Amino acid sequence: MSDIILETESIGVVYQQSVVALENVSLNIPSGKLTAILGPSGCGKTTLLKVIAGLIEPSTGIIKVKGQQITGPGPDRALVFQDFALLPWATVLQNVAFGLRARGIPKNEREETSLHYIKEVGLSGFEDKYPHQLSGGMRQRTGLARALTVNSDILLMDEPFSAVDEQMRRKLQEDLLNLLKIERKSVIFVTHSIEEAVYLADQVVILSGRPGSIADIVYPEIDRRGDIDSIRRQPRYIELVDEIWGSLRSYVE
Amino acid sequence: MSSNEGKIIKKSASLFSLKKLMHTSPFWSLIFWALVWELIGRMGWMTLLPPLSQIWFAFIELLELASFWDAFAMTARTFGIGLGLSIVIGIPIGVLMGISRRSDKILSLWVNLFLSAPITAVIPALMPILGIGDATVIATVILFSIWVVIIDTQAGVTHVQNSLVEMGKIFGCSRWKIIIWIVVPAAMPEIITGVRLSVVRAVKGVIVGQIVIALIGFGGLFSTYLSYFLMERFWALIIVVFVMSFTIIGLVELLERRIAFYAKSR
Repeated sequence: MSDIILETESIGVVYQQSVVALENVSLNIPSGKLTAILGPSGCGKTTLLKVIAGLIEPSTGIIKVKGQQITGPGPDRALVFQDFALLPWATVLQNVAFGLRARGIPKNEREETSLHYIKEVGLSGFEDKYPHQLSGGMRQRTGLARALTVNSDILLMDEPFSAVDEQMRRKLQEDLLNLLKIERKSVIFVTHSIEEAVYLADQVVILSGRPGSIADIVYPEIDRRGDIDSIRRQPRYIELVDEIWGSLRSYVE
Repeated sequence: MSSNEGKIIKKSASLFSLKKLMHTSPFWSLIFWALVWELIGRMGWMTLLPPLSQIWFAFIELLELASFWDAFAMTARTFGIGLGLSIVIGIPIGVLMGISRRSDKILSLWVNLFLSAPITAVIPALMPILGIGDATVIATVILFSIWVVIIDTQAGVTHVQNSLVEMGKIFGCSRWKIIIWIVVPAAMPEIITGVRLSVVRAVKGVIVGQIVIALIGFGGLFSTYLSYFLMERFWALIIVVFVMSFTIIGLVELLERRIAFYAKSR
């Protein structure tokens, strides 16, 4: 097992003194790998991601990044949003450069960096378009490029492909895997799709519903070095999807 | 954006094309009622309603009067200052009420009260405090127009997509930067709507203020013309005021359409 970049120690989140959203979540996130957080809707998986991002303060427990306890958002973590969270009045380039602008990077430098990542996510030629002129897939590519520009070690993704159609989702998943071969990131990826989790992740954390707690952790150990097209045909892939569904179905009414 | 601008320019250009104007019904409606007015005026049933053609000559006369231009300047000045202050003060108050629950609790009752209160009744109370002059009219304009700016700004701010604010936090923006870079621009369509409505109210405020005071500006002219029975001038002045209001409101609507395109895409 590789190094641990982020760990959560008995995280609990209670809303309004009575609603328990998360209970006793202790988790190790390996460096340079993709961890999927999988669970039925309402199980608190997005809450967990937002706690890790520093957007929600946990009621109990602590989070450590590289051994240091964190208390809020930080430059070591970038987030890709489910609803893209793009500024509608800003172009693709301005949106991608937002994170660098917030850090006070001069205009020339931040645009240069942004153009590099716009190219890397496959959006060259769309720099001056506005979000409403883009398809859902392109909007999320913009969100991804923005998260990459700030060069955080940890990339948090909150159901990033759930707002696009099935074909586009497959394409985005493939592109993400290819991208992660270039950009060595530790990714935490929230999803409700078993197939997506098994396809992408090195470690799948299965959350049970209300209150959310870790039901199981599965290590797909699928060989992704070769042709990513073949992943879905591997017996291991099919087997795992079945196995995870077996353990999840009891939590779904 | 450029394609959008193109469209708007085209639209506004067509407003000035006479040919197109002839084919739109408001033009014919205007002609029709002007003719009716002219006929009724010529029959001389009512001394209060002179024919429209005489009002036109009175209008030409008005343009040569120093008192008219003084009143015009005063109206423009008090309208501009009052509306400007409403916007400059109203937007920050609205933002504050949108982001802080406590200030919303403290202020919202009063804002809503004044939004629907008959402000005209307050003007006589302003006169002893602010005197008979610009200050009272400016205060009237503000009292007429500021509340809707506050309410609409607040509505815009409270409806800003939560994820945009989270995005700002993730990338390390300070609270202040989140407000300036994200919240205010995201609330801009509602803010512009508030400004448009406040322009309408400010137009009312500036005229009502002058008329209630009855000694200054257009209000002074109105009461002079009425007491000397100069009905042609009186009507000419009314038409001037109507056209002015209409033009200003039209201009703001044009501005609003420029902003509207990203309201839809949110």
